[in-house]
Amino acid sequence: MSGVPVSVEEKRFLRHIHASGLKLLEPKVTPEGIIYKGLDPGEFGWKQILFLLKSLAQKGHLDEEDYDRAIFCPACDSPHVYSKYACPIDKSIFVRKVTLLQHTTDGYQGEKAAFEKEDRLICPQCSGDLGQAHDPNTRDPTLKEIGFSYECIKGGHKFEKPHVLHFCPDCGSMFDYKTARYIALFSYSLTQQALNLLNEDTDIEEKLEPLYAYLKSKGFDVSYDVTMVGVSGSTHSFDLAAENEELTLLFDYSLGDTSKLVILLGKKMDLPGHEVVLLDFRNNDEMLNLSKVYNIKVIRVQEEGWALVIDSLITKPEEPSKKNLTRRGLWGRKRE
Amino acid sequence: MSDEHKVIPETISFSYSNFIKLLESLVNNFGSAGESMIFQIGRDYGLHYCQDALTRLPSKEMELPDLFKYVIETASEDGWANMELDEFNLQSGSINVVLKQNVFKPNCTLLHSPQCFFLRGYISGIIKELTNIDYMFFSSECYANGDEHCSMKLIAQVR
Repeated sequence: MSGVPVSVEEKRFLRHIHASGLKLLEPKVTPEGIIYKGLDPGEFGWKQILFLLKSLAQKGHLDEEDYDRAIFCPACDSPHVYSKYACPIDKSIFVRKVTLLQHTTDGYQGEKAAFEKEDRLICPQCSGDLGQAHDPNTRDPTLKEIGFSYECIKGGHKFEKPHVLHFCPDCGSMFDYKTARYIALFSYSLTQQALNLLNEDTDIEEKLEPLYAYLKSKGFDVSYDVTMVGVSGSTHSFDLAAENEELTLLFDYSLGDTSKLVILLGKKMDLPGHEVVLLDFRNNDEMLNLSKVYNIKVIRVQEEGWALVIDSLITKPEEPSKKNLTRRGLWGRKRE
Repeated sequence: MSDEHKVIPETISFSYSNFIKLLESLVNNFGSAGESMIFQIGRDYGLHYCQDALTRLPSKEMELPDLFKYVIETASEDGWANMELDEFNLQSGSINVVLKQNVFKPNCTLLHSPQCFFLRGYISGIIKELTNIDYMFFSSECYANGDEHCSMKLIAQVR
């Protein structure tokens, strides 16, 4: 999906990654959320970061590699999850692990608890001292671990495989594999496409400097990378916005791609009362022709006279009357 | 062109997943402008739907809120959602509609973002047809945000 427009927030996050100097973003599960090693989250929340990374990878600005898995709480979406063992019969978490030991010298075998005397392991049959109870490294070689099982303390049930339960300390939920959210975590690295975009941005800002200065001289507040909410509730981003008390001019730029004009038309429909302008850096004639059909002003910043277009918008904002617009209908029918 | 091809079919239908794919392709290709386009498609559809519904009115003497209620209840039968009128205040320019069994719910919860631009436009188109006032989407309760219900508040556009 390369060529898909990047939102202001996505671009800001790309810059943030680039500024960190990290070649590879590797995820890590922490009680506070999924973090990326070495990356200061800055203004971005961890869920927002996951969303932005995914979206940027889909748009071809990041390479994505399968890296890890995390269990998320199905109730509150937190990755702060602990596992516990439970009795498969009554689901009680009050179970104990029973380790079976054998003293090969005299053949005695039994639960580890039968060997434990204070902090030592003593053979109940021959009374031989077989090492420290809680340090397997000190055990006598004649003492072998021959198996284990689990026992439910409340119900007395004995079983080999406990039921694994997950506990979320954030919301107190207990859940198992059936309801858990098992999420794939990916590592990411910037693609050449992202680096090009970031370089292009620096280049574009230099080219926009005369326009920026001109709009300022006309008393506008001018900002780069602006977002606006349209009548549909959708949030639209613009490369540049100039605003005064009476008028808002919204600009996107294009490096020859005519789809930018279609995109600007879509945004314009959602922002009635605002003027939109496309800044064409490649002097694309097709763009100019299309702009007349779409009733969108196009400015060729590198050509003389571009300031006149701005002046015409400032002095006479265009508000085409819908009554005069003839819309083409299906099968050649026309409707007013 | 053969006679067969001159006949415009009364209805055409396609599956839910194909409709969603159609909307997705607009958003994937045009970003937020795609969402706006979906809103406009919904709005035009709402306008025409309302015009058609008004030709089948049970009574000629209905107040505006009742008319709106009638149209959205008729629209609910098409299966987009069970739409219920919660607020209709022309003086304050505020209209709130609760949408039960919204067909876009699975996508809202899956993608963690509202997917109802078509229905926002649809309702706004119905209001426009009835009042001749442009209403804009203002806020919503949304499954994507973890809300229990889906509802949309639209407010009159100040131009």
